[in-house]
Amino acid sequence: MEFYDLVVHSTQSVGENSTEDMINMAERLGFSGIGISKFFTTRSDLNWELPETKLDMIKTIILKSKTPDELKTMANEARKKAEIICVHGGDYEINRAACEESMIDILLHPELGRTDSGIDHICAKAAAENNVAVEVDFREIMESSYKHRVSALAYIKQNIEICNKYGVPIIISSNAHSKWNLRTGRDMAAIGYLLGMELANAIDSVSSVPLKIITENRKKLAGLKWQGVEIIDKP
Amino acid sequence: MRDVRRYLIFEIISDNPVNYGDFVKAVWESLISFLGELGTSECKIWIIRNMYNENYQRGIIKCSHTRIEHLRIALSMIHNISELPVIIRVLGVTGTIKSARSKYFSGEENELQGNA
Repeated sequence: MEFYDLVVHSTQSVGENSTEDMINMAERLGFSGIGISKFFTTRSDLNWELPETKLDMIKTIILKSKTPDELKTMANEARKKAEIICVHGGDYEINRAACEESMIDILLHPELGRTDSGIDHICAKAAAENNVAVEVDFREIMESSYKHRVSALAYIKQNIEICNKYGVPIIISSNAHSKWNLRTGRDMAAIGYLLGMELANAIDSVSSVPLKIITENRKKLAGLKWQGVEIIDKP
Repeated sequence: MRDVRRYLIFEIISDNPVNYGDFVKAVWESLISFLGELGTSECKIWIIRNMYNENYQRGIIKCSHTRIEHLRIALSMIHNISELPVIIRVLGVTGTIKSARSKYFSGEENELQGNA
C-alpha cells in the first residue's frame, strides 16, 4: 500500500525541521511520497528545488488570499509550475471560490477558525463538479484539546458527511510543522473512519486519492492531458 | 461469552528512550481524554508489561477487536511523553501473541523482560 502526505511544512516554509529531516522521518513512517509545501507570496516561491530521494517528492503550493479575485489570479500563476495547488481555507467566501475554481486541487481545513463547518451544500456541489478535494487536517485535531478539539471534530465530521453526500473527494494530511507531527498513513486514515468515512474510503484518502491527483497534474504539466483529451500513446 | 481480542504492536519513535511507566500514563490520559471513560471501557485495554522492550521501544497492547481504530487514534494523538516529543506508530495487529512475537519481535530483537 502506498501512502502519500500532501501537506508537509519544512524550514522552506513555516516548519521547524529541515526538508532532509522531514524526508527521513517520512521514510521511517512508510510513506511513498510527501508534498513539501510553500505558501505563495511572490513568483520566486514557484521556483524551488527538492532533493532526489527514494520518496516521491511533490511540490505543493498553498494559496492564502484575502479575496476570491486574488485567489483566481494566484491560481492562474501557480498552475503552470506547482504539482499540487491548495487553498488555505477558513473564510467562507474563499472556501466557496476555491470549490468553484477547477484549477484548485485541494481546499485545506475549511473549518479553521470558524464557528461552523466552513462549507455547505453549494460549495460541496461545486467542489464535486470541479474535482476539488477537501482536506481533513490531522494536526488541527492532534494539537487541540478539550473544547477546541471537540468543535474541530464536530465540524470535520460535518464536512465529511457533506462530502460523502455529494461525492467530493476527501484527503487526510498531517499539515506537519515539525517532524514530530508526522504520523503513518494508516493511523491518519483511522480518524477518517471514526468521523464517518467507510474504512476503505478512509484508507484511499491517504493513498489512491492523492496519487490520482498527483498523476493527473503531472500529465497536465507535461502537456499530455487537456480537458476531455488525453494522449495515451505517441506515434 | 468470551470476548474477542486483538494484539496491537506499537513502536515509539523518540530521541531518548521512554520508560514503561511514563508510556502507560500517557496512553491512559490520551484514551480517557479522546474517548472518555465510557469509551475507554469499551476498548478493554490491557498494556502487556512483559512484552514492552525498552531497548527497541516496542510493545503490545491487547484490545477489543471492534475498537482497534479507536486505539490507533488515541496512540497517534500522543505527541509528547514527559515533555519528550514522540511519535507512536502501530506496526501491526495480530490475533495471538505468538504471531506478534514472530513477526515483530524476532531475531536479535527478541529480548523480553520477565518470562517469555
